[in-house]
Amino acid sequence: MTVLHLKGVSRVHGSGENAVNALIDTDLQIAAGEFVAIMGPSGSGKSTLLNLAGGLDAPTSGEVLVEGIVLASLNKKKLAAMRRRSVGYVFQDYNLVPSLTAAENAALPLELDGTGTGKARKLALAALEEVGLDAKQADRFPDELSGGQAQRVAIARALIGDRRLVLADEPTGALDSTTGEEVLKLLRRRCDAGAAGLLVTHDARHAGWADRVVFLRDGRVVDTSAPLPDAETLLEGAES
Amino acid sequence: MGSPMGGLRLALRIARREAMRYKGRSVLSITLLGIPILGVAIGASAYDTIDLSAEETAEQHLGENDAYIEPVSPGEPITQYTWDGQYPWYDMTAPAEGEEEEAAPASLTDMEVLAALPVGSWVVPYDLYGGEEAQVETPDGVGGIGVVGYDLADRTYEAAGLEYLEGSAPVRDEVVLTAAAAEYLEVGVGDSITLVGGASDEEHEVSGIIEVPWDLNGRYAIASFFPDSSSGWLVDVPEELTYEDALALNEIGVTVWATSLLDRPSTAPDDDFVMSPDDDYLLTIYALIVVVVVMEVVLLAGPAFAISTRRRSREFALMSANGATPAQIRNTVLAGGALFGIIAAVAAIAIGVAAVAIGMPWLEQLFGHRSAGLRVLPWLQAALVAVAIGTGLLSALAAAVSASRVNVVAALMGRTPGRKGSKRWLVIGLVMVGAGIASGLAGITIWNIQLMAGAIVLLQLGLVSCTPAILALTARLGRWLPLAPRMALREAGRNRGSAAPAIAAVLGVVAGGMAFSMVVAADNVRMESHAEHMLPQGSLTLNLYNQGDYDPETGEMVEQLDWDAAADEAAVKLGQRLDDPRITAIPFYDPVGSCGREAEFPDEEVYCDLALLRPEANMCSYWSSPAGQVAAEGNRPTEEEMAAAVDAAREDPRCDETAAGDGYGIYGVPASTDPDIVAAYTELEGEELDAAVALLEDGGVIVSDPWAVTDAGTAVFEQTMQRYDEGDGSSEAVAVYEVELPAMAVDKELLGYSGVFLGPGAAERLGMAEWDWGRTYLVETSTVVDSAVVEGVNEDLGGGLADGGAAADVAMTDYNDPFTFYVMLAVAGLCALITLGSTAVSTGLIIAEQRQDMTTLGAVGAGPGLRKRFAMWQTVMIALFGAVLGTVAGVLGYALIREALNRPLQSQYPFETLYGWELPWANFAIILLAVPVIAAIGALVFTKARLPSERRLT
Repeated sequence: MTVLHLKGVSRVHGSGENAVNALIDTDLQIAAGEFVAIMGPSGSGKSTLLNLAGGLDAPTSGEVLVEGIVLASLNKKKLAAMRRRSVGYVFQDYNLVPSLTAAENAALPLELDGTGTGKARKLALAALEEVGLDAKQADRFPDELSGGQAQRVAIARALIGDRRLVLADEPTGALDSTTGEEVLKLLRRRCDAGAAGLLVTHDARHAGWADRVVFLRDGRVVDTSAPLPDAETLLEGAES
Repeated sequence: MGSPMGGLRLALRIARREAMRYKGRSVLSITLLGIPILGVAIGASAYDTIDLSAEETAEQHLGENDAYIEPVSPGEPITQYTWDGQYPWYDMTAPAEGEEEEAAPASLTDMEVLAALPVGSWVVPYDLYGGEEAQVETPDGVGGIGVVGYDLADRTYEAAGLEYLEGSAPVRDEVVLTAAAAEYLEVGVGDSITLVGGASDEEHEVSGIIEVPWDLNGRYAIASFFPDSSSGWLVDVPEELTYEDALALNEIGVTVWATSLLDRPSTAPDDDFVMSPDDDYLLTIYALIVVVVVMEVVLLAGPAFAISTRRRSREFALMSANGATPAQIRNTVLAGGALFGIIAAVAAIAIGVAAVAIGMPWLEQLFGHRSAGLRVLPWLQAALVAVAIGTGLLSALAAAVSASRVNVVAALMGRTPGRKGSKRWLVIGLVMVGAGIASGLAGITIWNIQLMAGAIVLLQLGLVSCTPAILALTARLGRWLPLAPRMALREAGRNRGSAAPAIAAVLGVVAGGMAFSMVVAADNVRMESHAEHMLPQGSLTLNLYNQGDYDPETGEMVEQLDWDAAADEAAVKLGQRLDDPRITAIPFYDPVGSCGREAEFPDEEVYCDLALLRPEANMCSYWSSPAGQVAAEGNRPTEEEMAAAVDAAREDPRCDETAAGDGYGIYGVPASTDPDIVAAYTELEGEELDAAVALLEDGGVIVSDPWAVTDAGTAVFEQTMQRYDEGDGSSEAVAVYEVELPAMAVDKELLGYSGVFLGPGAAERLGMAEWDWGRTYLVETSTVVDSAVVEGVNEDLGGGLADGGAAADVAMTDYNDPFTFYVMLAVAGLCALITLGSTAVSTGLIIAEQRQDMTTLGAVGAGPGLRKRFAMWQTVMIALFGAVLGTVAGVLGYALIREALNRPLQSQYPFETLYGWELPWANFAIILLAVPVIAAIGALVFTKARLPSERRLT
């Protein structure tokens, strides 16, 4: 079953002489249980693709469908509800709300969706446990957590509830390699459990965790491949 | 779908934690929201605490007694409307023709009163007005206190609540003092007081100090040997004093204060208690004040929310990415406003009530009676909480809307989104300014206060809305400026989200302060125009008062004082503090008796009224108009008649009635031919002064109304002989005489309310006589006299003159109203303080946002001074923008307020002084010049010179 479907999606920033084509006529499908990595140099359109996939940005042309629903057909309220229930984001800079504890950050989508505080906390503790954080760490504020712990909280927030699409934008960028590997393991595990995952990364080793790698350049998909044992080869192939 | 309550809980939790994370900013916002609430909370609690119910008033005045009764019209029946006999109605109807009027007794005796009370009643004399005045030695000389003739051994007084603070009831020649009297005389139990002014001084030992709960500031001595000056009686009846008892007392002209009457509703005529149009007008003004204050607070507190929202944009973007709807993000910011509002209200009310509790003794002294305990006026305090929450929500509204529109992608990427919307806001702002002007003009035209109030609000909000666009436009001027001001200007333009709210805050407070200052300044001019102008500013006068008694038969002083000897004695005392004092007598004259025409009225007693007449040709057109004629008959002209007559009068130079005295007759007129005195009153010099003195010596008169001088150079005075009817208190004119005297006119502002200065000969011809109860002298000295010198001289004179036969004081003429000056200074100071605070906070925040740019500048070789200069120019920019726009808004606001205030005054005749355009230049200077300069200096001093190095921001 296709969870994310980009059909001929383009995104142009600005207009006239200042127009920048961030993404051009892109097609992409990710099925449930599939983990896809996006690679490409800076300015290639990786983050734009991720933002369009999550409904944070709207395409200039083409369609984005999440679980078969065209995002452009949703009003702001419904789009927000879709993000609460179907899409989980993981950012490079953790992006936790500083005034909420780890558990409250993880429970944020549920609370925004009207789940009672007690139930939301229970689910959040479970999600945190799943990413390796105990109840003591759950009551800490973001500025009391290490980078790795904070990113685990962000992943827990992205996974909480019944999310079917996890979008991760350089989730290991601010972490050491060991912690980074653990974070990717968590994402992989979630996809194995049935979610669709989209990972934006610069690091070929991290792309190695994906089922498929999509390479972007100047806003266009230039190659799509299954991961190779030696990820460097993939990069060379893409540049040729 | 999310439940509203769940979202609200989350929003409140985030708001609470944010408030704790940024305590400084939270305290600032809460303080701004709380200050007006604190003021009202104190006022409400103080009012409720000190205001007594009828029951409490009765308890305080009567204690355990049944009633206090007062003969207001002895022997004449009265109608009493309320439990305490306020506003008694006297039957003033004259007896029918042929019916003999019974002579009313001058007063009632105890026995007569007891006869009207139930058998077994007990009465003791009681005084509500402080007794008879007596002179007593004070630590500073001689002063006055009351003496009351009670026999305090009678338990009725103690039952009335007179409580001994120290000591006990007096015996033999001892006295009891009220606490205020004891404090005034600086004596305690066992000390003595000396009464002076009688045949010989009387010394009395103080046996006790009491408190009268309803008269804490009353200074009096109580002893049974003092004369009975009671105003009524305290009454103790065997059972309860009934309504029928009260009616019986009313029948003999006695009002009754009785606890048993409390339950009876007031029977006062209803029309005294219905709301008048003036009340309606006042309510509108109060509502307008509330709207303006709430708006100023919103403008002041708004920037803190706006800046906080900008800083939290990434957080809101994150919430949005996790599925928060715009409404949920909006609610998160609004929850902060509501939370701050609640905290501000609770804190302000708690502080306010505590302040009243602490200040209760002072409050009781101020109002002169004990309170019934601390009270808080709960319904108003609850309303204050609602207002505070509303104000908090309004303060956060703009920030909340802005937060809900955050560009999620840009915020998450840490980018500054493109600047949009200036033009839109400019259009909105200009539309609001236009609507404000239209609303104001419409309000003035159809005389609608609501439209005028709306105009003030629209004008201010319109200017606030224009601020970002004005900043963006002004930023273009930067190219011609040096680096630091250029950067400051452009950054203010770029960071409009931070600069505009700060400017709006300054604008709001300056606008309010300016409008208020202009009202106060104009009102001061109006008050000054009503004040009596006699001697020039700074003139020093010595006043002597005959302390002897009047003969009730002749109305003259029993003993004539040797004024020259008293004046010589005073001059010696003046010499103790003043160098070379020289005193010159200023004789003051009043019309006396029948103005010397006793021979023409041998069989009846008449008295004389004096008036200065204008020749018929010089009379104002108003008096010959229909409205003037109706008014002259004591009736009320129609609005149309009045408007037509007043409009015509405005075109008529003869209608300057400010020159024509106050219309209340000619009394206390100076009369002299001494050139110094004449010059002091008329401000004439040289040949004009010589001519004036010559005229006065020839029996002439100087007047301040030029239209009163005839073509022949004379002034005509009218002597009206009035016969007074003791029966009904009415007067009847029995004869009118005219006296024509040589005259000249001086400046219309001079010569006080009477508008006349006489030569002694003129005074004689008019039948006036010099005051016999007092004398005034002009004092000249080489000493520079200020209020401290005046106070010192008065201390020296405090002991009296002529062995206590005369009292004396000196006074310095001062037409300035220090209250107005201090009010305006306080307003300017407050505006300045808030302007400085706002500019400092916003400058700090803008500089914090410039951290990266500063680092870059440091990397390319900028010196440390650049940061300071940048901060200084940023501050100047905000302060100047806010002050200039605020001044514009304030002046426009005043224009509307002025119209509102002047409208009812414009249809009056004689013309009322209107609210004018009195520009408070000192306030302008403080706000437009001093504040930006002080802010700039502050920025230079307090900004760190060191350029920042990058650090990790979480």
